[in-house]
Amino acid sequence: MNNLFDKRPRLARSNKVVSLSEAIDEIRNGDVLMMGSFVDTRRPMAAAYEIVRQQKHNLILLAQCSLAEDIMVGAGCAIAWRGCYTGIATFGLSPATLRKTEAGKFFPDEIGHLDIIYGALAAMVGSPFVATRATLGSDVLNDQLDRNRILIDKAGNKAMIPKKKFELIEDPFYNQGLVKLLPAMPADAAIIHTQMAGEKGTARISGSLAFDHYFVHAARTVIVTTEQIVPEEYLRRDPNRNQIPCTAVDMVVEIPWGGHPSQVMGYYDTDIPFIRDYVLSARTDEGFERWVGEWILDVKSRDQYLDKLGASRLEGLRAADPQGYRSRS
Amino acid sequence: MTAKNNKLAKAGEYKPIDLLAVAAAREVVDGDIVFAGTGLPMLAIMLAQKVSAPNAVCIYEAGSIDGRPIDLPTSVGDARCAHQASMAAGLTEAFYGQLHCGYVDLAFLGGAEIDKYGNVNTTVVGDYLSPEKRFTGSGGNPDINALARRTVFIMVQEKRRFREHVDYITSPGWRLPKWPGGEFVHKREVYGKFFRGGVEAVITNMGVFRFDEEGIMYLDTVHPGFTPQQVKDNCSFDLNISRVSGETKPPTYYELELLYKEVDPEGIFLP
Repeated sequence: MNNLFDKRPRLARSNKVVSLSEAIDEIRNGDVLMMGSFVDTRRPMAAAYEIVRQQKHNLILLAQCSLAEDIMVGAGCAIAWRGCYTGIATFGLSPATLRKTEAGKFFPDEIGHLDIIYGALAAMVGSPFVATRATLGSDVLNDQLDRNRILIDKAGNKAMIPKKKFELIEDPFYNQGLVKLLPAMPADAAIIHTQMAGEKGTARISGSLAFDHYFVHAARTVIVTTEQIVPEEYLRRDPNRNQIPCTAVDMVVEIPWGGHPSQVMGYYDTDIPFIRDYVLSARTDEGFERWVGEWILDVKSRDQYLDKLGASRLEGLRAADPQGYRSRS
Repeated sequence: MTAKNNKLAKAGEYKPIDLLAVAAAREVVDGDIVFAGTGLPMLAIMLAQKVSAPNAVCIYEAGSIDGRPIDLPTSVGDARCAHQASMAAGLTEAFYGQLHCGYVDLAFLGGAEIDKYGNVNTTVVGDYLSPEKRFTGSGGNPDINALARRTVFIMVQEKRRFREHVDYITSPGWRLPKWPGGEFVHKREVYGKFFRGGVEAVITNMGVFRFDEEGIMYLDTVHPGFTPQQVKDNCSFDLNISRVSGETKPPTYYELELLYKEVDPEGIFLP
């Protein structure tokens, strides 16, 4: 195997477009997986549904356990998580994650946002560790409350998890006091959802980039699901506006409304009643099973999903210019 | 827009959440660079910008810098945050590009539990490894609290939430464990030359709390309708009520009008 931090050579294919099921087929049980973007915006929801449909298991999630991840946790696809957030903003706590954690069936391991960002950046640049002040004085540094061992045990590829979570040293260069050495945070796979992508993998994001523009370089397999595949030539007329280069991407999947019920700026707004219904349903095992049956397992195709939502509901979410969302007032 | 009615509202004319938002907004100094999270912090910064701090800049952690939202966002990544923003990027640009490198003056945060040193728990109730109840985890809480010059926590006042020791230190206060040993020392000692400040105030539905020179919490103002003793009775630790400076100023009619008609007319966070 190559150095852990070497990028897997991406095939310089002229066309990386595949179907959603083909793309998710590449995710292996036990993979360390990063789902793109943040909380309830631009989430790779269709990909999360497909992961549930393909009954992946033992996944280790990174960064957050929010809207997309919570469904995978509830469906038993993920066993552990390293990150810092188990909520869905205005919609409350991540219900399935809470249930499984409190029942001892899912294993969170805490780090902070700065750790996630810097861990991804370190993996991106190929540095095994970096130094930061993040989380000093917090229980992230309490070794009694550390699940690094569990993450190593559960990971399919154990090399993806560092031997330990951090090391404290005195700054040897500028004499600035205590610093934390933070290991890089590589991932087996990253799945991000974008507004646009070209057939060679170039992708364009509007609104928050979240962690995506770094995490794609920290993952060995990168899947871009997108609202709209456009000609590469079109995106390359204005390359400054593209955040994901073709070199980082393995597969491109076109899925209109693929971020529903999250918001995709410029395309559609957050489906607030849908998320509220999920959060209520997923508080119990039975409610979650019912929800996952109704919206994932019993839904045979994307067309059926959209038909079930209905044209008027989708039209009501469609974003308007110039704000890029749907004004509620 | 009607003329500004700056008279103070009377008891019964505003709700506890209104006072929370208004008291938080009053912590913003014009020109502050403010880091805000979802919920009440959004109400506070948007209100402050309309009332007293038009030049305050708001950064949302998902990467919008100085957005001027015209609709209330439901999360920090909402496209609403980025409306008329100077820049919309990602978490790296917000957390490292703004916070870690020292731009941020003030941050608004929430918490489930707090101790008398301002250590905040947003992670679990009970033993971390087999928790009775899991919360949101840290989110940006510890990073923001550690690296902004001043932070303001907005919390619910309950005896079980104001504790001698919290079950998990998500976000470090004024006195905190120095790992690897874990002995409690002043924040300055752990953060060294990176020390910038810390918890400035805690605002609850009963009062406003601040911290003394030793980093220990005291009651500063009590909200109308409560006594200092009632606040003390809603703390598990022995709250210092000897420094109470008076009653918290209620919202003005103008502030209430802005809150309900301009900041959150859709009732996303307000009742």
